[in-house]
Amino acid sequence: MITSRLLLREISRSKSIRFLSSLTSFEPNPEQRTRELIDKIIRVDQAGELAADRIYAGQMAVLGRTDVGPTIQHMWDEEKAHLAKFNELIPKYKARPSVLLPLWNVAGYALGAGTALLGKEAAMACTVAVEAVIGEHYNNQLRDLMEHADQTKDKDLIETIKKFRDDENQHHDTGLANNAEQAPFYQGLTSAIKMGCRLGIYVAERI
Amino acid sequence: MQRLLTLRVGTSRLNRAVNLCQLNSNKLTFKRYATNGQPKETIDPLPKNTVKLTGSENVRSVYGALASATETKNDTNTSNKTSASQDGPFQSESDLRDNVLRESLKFVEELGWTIDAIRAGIRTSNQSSTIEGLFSSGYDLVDYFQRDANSKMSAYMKEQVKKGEIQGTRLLIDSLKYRLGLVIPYASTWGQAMAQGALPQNSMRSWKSILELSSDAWHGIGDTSTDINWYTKRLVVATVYKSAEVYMLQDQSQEKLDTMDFLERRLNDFQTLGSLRNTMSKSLSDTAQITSGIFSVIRNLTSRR
Repeated sequence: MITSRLLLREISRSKSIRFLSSLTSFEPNPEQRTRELIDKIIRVDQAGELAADRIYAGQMAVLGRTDVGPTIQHMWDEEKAHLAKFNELIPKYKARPSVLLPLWNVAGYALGAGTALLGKEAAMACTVAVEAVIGEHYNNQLRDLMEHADQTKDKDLIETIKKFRDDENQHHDTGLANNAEQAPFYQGLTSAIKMGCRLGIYVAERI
Repeated sequence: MQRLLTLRVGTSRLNRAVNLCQLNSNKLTFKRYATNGQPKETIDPLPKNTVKLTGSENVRSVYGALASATETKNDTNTSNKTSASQDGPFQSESDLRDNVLRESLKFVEELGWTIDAIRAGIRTSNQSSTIEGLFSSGYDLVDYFQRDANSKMSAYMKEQVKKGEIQGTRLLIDSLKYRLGLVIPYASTWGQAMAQGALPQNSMRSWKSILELSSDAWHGIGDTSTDINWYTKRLVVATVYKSAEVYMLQDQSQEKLDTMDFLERRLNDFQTLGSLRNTMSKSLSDTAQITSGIFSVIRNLTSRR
């Protein structure tokens, strides 16, 4: 009963929106919709890789000379390569970078350095949380792209995201292998960071 | 049972109704023996029946409507198909709009950027007048003109890049001049178009088009900025271009030469701004150095190694 009512409301709402939009402007054609999707994907990914780059920079500033230093350095180098790739894709697809880049920059660095100050386990817990969200997010994007994008024309983009998804998942596993779960308040810490990441993704997709 | 039925129908009803249920009740008893079903169910049918009667009529009419709707739908589909096969590829709504608006531009000189100009365009492009429903206001015409001019500018830039004679800021200035040159034929009515763009209901589209213009211009000269400069660059070009358009409105010179000079001067000013930006970004990287220094101090304080 409730579901049917909800369904009804949903249908009538979509109709009314369509009606209004047909009065004022026009529904974008499929090509334009795909372009908007790719624009959104590149924007949020570039912002995300920038933030990841800054997170590792923050961790390196604190933990650079400890025994986990080389591990973090290795992951940081990969993130730098990812960021460079998306910086290359922005002009290629004429995408718009996020307005809040300076914010992501500072927030990423603060998150990385802040968790590193809690100890190397906390730093690894931060890595685990961030990479889990990002891996999941890349998977969602891949699904969207498989559905809407041109498989031959945007092959490069899809392959890139696939490769990066695998890299991020590897970082996630590296974090777990380095005793991330022994961090103080592991559950609370990771869920707070995950929530922050999801919020960041939501905002960066839009502005 | 009869009594029950009459009760059910209600004493206030007409005699005819009572007669009807008496008639029905005979049938019902018969039915009860025949189907050997539950009496409760067989008692009920009268109100149910009447409801059903009207209900089924309604349903039939609804079905009828549906059927006719599908029929007409099929009709339009087939007619579309035939027209498509006659006129070549299927024409999409946006293409249709653009074709009409292209025609309408010829009437801007005398009718202005109004719905009247669009109507005139509809007439000359041999479309039915119902197509007017595709347009909401005269701003559709302005919007089309700007989109079209933007894509023309992009094509011009691509061509220039291929020739390879001019590049960088020189190309940027040239393309913006080219873009402004496209507006000059409409200079006498352009003030009206700009005013419409400033109206709240059109402001979103007007912003989008001017930002697209500057974005196209920067992409055209191969700009690869991916940080906040992306925004400052586009905003600077957008403001310079818009102010040049405003300048053009009162420009009395031959071929609007003063406006072109104005555009060039403003963009040269912007180059000086660029060097200022460089010093600013340098100071920003200094800040990053200082922060990492602070963190190393904190690390030493907490003695984490």
